[in-house]
Amino acid sequence: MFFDQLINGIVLGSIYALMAIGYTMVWNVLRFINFAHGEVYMGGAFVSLYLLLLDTPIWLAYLGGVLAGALLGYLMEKAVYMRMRNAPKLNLLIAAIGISIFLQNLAQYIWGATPERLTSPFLYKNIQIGDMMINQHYIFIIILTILVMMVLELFMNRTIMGKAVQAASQNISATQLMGINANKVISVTFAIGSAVGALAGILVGPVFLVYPTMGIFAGLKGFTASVMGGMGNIPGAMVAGLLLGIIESFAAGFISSGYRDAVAMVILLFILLVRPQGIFGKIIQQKV
Amino acid sequence: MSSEKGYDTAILTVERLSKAFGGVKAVNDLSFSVTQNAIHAIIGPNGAGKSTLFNLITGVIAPNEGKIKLFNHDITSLRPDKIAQYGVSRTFQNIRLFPDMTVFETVLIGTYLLTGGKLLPALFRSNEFRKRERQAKDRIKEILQFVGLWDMRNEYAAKLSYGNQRRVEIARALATNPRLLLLDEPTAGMNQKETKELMQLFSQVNQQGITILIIAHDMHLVNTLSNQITVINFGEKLVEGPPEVIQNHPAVVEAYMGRAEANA
Repeated sequence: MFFDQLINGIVLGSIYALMAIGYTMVWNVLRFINFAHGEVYMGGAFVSLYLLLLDTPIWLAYLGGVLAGALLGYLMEKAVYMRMRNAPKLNLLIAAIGISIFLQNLAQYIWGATPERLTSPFLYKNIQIGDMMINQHYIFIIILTILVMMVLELFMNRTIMGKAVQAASQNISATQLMGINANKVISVTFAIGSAVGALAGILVGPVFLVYPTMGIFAGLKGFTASVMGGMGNIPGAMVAGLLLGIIESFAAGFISSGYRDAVAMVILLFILLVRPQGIFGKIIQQKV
Repeated sequence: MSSEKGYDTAILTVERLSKAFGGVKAVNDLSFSVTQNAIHAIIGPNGAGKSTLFNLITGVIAPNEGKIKLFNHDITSLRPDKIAQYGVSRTFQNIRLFPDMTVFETVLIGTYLLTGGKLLPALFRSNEFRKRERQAKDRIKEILQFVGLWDMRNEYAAKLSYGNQRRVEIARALATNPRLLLLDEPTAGMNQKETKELMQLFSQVNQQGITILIIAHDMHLVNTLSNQITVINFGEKLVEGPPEVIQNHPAVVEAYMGRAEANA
């Protein structure tokens, strides 16, 4: 029971962590919360589903979904947010909510509202460890999440583009004056964050099904995790996402499944009261 | 109205530049040129429009009127990163570092142009990319040794002393291989020793063939370091000339000391 819940928690937490990365990366370069990120998660899953209906090989369908997610995030930024660079952040926030509602309705118009299951090559297979049966798709989710985190870590710290993303998040005007095109850095950030978000949606598709409003709750949890981890802190978002998933899973298993979201939100409130900068965040001093 | 000498070797030419914020003319019909290899100082009272001028040259803000030319390329209203690619780099009046980066990483950002910043070759680590990366690392080492920060390369830039933070900013600016370096009050808030050391550094930078345009208040620094001075007040050029001429010029004295019927 304990280990079952732990595995469930890690799987759920992996999804939250992948979602949190998108929120935190966008926050880093633009200092706003992209509330349409949940729809990138949904969009990626739907595109994979659609590609599978066209008899695309499963790996290509997954890849297509991830690329579509990256494109969706990129276009969102180019078409809307980029035009609002000098606007108050509240305008961006409202635009994001608008995009979110628009994309949910667009998905419903194209694909309908009936939940559908994405296929996975592993879904109906189990691995036995001791006397515990673990779904192979769960293992697949965990391995892929670890892989994504490693690649992201390498990108951020070992490539000059990753360093440019970091620089832009720390001082965008100084970054531009080093000859770095800030718009390009922002585009790359959106594309990567969205690709990771779409991957989360695709990984969830075989378990929790695919439907137009699937991004609402996943987005909220991913956002919660990014706040818990300290906004803008990528490793923090990863750890907080995992933690949130595990806590929820234990709350559901040992208290009551009805309390699962309540426990998560109480923990969020507690962290905001005690450590408003997040578990791993730093207190940012405002310079005058 | 521009300087009589050195038009043929002008690296930067500012022509009839104007910029107003609301009703305030921060820069007003300003023309001057900077000769190659010069250390050219811009002086003037607080609020004279000096920093606005730097922001105009580096593309942070766009002028209302006028032209800025770099080596006869019109760079007026180009994006800041484009202007940086033409070879203009700068430091800020209030030091702007990357708070979570080490000295080495900060200067690495400056070499972005050298490595091309291309995403795919970086991810797949092509041979060409590796070669450029090595070149960038050698260049960073060279620059950090030059400014005297090599031993502190792994420290967080924001944790260094004020004088050394300025050196990090200068190192980062040098990493972009500038032809023209803009220094906005680089010694403000420094003690005498730091000021003296920085002045030495500036002339060494200049000896490497980098033209310097410097905003300063410290008249001693301006007089010893620069070979051309442009005095501005209320966004307009008052006078221009070598230090000997400027020092005792009545208009300069007036601008700094004020006069009862000073025409505003």
